[in-house]
Amino acid sequence: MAVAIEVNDLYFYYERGKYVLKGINLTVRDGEMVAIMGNNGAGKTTLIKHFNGLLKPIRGSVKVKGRDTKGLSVAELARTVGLVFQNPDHQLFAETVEEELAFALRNFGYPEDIVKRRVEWALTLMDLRKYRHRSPLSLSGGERKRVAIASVLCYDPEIIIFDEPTIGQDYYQKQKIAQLLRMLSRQGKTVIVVTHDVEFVAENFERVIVMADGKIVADGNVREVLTDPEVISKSNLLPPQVTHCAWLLKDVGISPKLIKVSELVKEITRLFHEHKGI
Amino acid sequence: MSIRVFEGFKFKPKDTYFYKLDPRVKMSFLIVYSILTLYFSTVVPLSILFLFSVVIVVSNRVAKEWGRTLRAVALLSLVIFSFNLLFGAKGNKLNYASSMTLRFLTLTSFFSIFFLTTTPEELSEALLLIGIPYEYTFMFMMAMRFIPTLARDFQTIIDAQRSRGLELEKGNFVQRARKLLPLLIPLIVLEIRRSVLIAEALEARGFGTSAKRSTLKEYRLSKVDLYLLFLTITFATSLILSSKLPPYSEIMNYRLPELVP
Repeated sequence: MAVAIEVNDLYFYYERGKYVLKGINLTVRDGEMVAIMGNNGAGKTTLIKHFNGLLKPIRGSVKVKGRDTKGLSVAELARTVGLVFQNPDHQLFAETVEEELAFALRNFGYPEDIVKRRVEWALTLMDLRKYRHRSPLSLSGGERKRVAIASVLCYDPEIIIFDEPTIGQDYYQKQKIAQLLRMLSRQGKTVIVVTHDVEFVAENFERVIVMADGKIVADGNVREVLTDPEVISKSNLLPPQVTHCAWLLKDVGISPKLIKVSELVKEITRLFHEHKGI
Repeated sequence: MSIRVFEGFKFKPKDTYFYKLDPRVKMSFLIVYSILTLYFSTVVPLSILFLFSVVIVVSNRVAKEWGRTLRAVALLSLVIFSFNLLFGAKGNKLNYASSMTLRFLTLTSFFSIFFLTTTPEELSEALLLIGIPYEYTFMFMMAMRFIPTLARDFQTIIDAQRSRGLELEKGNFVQRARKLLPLLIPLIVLEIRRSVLIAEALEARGFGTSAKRSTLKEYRLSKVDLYLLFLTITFATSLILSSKLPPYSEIMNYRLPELVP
């Protein structure tokens, strides 16, 4: 499959000499669904801001669909790379939800009939139809977040990046976001999600990249990475609770490589039946 | 105009004599010299005042930060100079324009000295001491404290809107002005939300319960304080007197020659 994003030996600092990113190398292929994890200050947000050209490498290169971001403007890249910011309050401004969604489409110069159609599609997708004439600023926190997501989805970028999409969402909305991510992935979109939510990653992702102190400390299969005690301690992450349970129950014969609730249930059931058999 | 302008108005920790002064003395120093700067309108006394401020800057080793601010306002002072030269008061325009520019630079310099050497806590203490009620002092301090936060929020908002295809560089003046809306509305809403939160947090911690507040640090006038206070008053008085009494008054009131006869 073709490469969506290619990062080569990327170095970046905000203040001269204080490197925030120190030699990042990674490749994300078309249609992949990738989680980026790491504690605060690891450089996650700085990294994703390179993907749509908000930041440009100080050393190394970032290529999006084969094009170097150095020569491209944010507006040019934004058509291909949608970035949903962490806090919706940093972007909502329009008088109605509809207008908010139309903003990006109009910036990109789409004709009005397409704008209308795409807004309609995004409203339905994010369950926002009943709020279409409301002011986005008057909505609740979770609803504002959905408007922010819809405002990026509506122009249908090929690569979609979410910065902490699950923050401030209740359990039900979190499930909805997980469904949305999977749906986008099924449609062939490349989905990159920055998150602290290790359970969310364990349940929904295949590949995870773990960052610590401006470097990538692990990149690979979610099960391998999240059950690796060395990676976990190096990056100051906590393993998923299920994995933690599995580690504690190792002595009774439960595999320490579990990451999903359903897997633990299966293991326990298996053990239970084995013992009954005795 | 960038953030650099404000370098010279931001506290910069150092260990020289001006830092150790009582905030009340620093405040009086600022007030006395600002009034003097506004009182004189000729080149000689204003130059003396400016040089005096430079001596203080250099002897307190804050020349670098001070220099940044002065360089940043150089353009503005050039505007002041040329405007006054072209459209200034009747009479001696060169003299007028020069002294107005000097006055601006001298005021900037004294304010820079004050803010460079005064911590925010001392500043609020100094404001209290000149009789401003605590609520207002606190409001002012909070506003100052939130400038960097505001700047950061604004940067994020710009990033978020650019990510949605907003091109700030394109378009004519009117189009560009319209593009400010998507930037300013989120900022204002965000800050109003934040200020409500802060107000609630303050009330939850009993802000305003006691009418009389005590402070962690009690300020007492030291010998150096009194010495500087004395010097300030003496210097100020002698400047005023010399501008009134011959033979010095002639030099002090010297006016630059007319440009065009």
